Amino acid sequence: MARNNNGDVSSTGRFRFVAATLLFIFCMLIFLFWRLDNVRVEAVRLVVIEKFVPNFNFLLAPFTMLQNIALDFRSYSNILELNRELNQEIQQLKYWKEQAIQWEAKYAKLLDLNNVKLDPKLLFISGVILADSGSGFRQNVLINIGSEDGVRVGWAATDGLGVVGRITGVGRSTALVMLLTDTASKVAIRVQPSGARAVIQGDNTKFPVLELLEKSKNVSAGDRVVTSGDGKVFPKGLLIGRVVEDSMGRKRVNLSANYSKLAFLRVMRMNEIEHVNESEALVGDEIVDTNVSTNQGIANE
Amino acid sequence: MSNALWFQRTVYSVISLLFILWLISPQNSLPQAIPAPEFLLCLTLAVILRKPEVLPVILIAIIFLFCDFLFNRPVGLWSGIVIILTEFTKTQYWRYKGSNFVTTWLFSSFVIAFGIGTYILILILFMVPHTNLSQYLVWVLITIFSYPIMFCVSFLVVRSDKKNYQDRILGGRA
Repeated sequence: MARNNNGDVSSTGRFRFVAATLLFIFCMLIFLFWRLDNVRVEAVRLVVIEKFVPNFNFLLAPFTMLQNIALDFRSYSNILELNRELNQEIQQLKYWKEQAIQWEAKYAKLLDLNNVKLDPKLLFISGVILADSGSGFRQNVLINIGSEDGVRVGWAATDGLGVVGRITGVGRSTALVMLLTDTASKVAIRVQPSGARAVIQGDNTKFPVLELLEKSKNVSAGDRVVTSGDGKVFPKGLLIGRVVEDSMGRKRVNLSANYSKLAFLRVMRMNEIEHVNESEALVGDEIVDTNVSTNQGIANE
Repeated sequence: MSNALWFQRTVYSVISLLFILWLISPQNSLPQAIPAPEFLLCLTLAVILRKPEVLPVILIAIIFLFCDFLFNRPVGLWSGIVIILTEFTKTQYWRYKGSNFVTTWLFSSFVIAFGIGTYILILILFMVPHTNLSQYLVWVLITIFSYPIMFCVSFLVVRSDKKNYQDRILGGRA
């Protein structure tokens, strides 16, 4: 290289400066645009992700495997303790199984009385997690189902037990799920049994905060937290977790979904509620219920 | 010479890609107390301090914009800041050309701290939802401490050249 201390102030140097300035301004303009018109830039983001992630999925596999090995190894170390806990849990589960069988019988009887036909359509679509958000500051995952599978923005994603997050972006064959722990995540909830409404707000910790909690005196640690269905995009009555209190006395939620081992997500189909308002939908012998609320209604008893 | 440069650029891009893939590979989805260090910034600074011609600003801009998209960060902000940081580092290259590793580490630490400080300041200014500040402080520290690792990785991009660069831990100019 023929450059030295003095040679730097040359036409190439000036060109470099101009290029850097232009690129900087370009980046800042994108940022401003992102702040003002979030939806459009997020759509571009999904296009970028969708072009990249599925194509490089084969490269992701070895990394995922390594991580899983590390996790498994860690779990071996406390296997004894785990075994003891599991034995206890089995005892408890037996009790719940009995309860479930009884409830099932009761449920069947009630269904029979009602003569309700459940929606034959799938209640949920399962997807595999393709990618994580790369930084520690956002909590999202990317799943391998998208608009081709009928996924829409706003639907809930669960891990089979508890709510994991909400669909915030849908590409053709991928969808972005914002986890409940993300700082931008807000979901309307109800605390059972008091029925108090609140909003669960992520703050990048394991335990999201309960904000705007009404009747907070009636809410105590251990109460169940379920989605309230306010806003009509999120199904009603999905389990989120249990109330806990932190050292500052703030009410937080211990999430039921096992966030440390997420691999598959269930995206809950939400039937549009508007359909029920049409008169034709109500005429006829089949009254289609939003199944989610029916199922959960029994579970809440 | 030019061929070698393009080779080094390719190696840099491939390493960056591998790091991106590692970061987005699905792992524990619980929020971590310690965020992942900004490996790419460390690598970029290390390469620039050893051989600035390898990394034209356009390559840096493309890679970091791509990261912004993939990592669900506010699009454009971090890449804009990184452009400023790397251009500044390029102007300081001649000052640190012959100096040892510890000196460049200190210099990079200041650059990293300044960059992340600006980032969080702008996030607050534009009222973008963000986590509490202590986590960003941890991010600064962990990034600074990951710099030596990425300095070693940078040898894959630019081979050791005893005449020019800070390839010894301590000790004066060549």
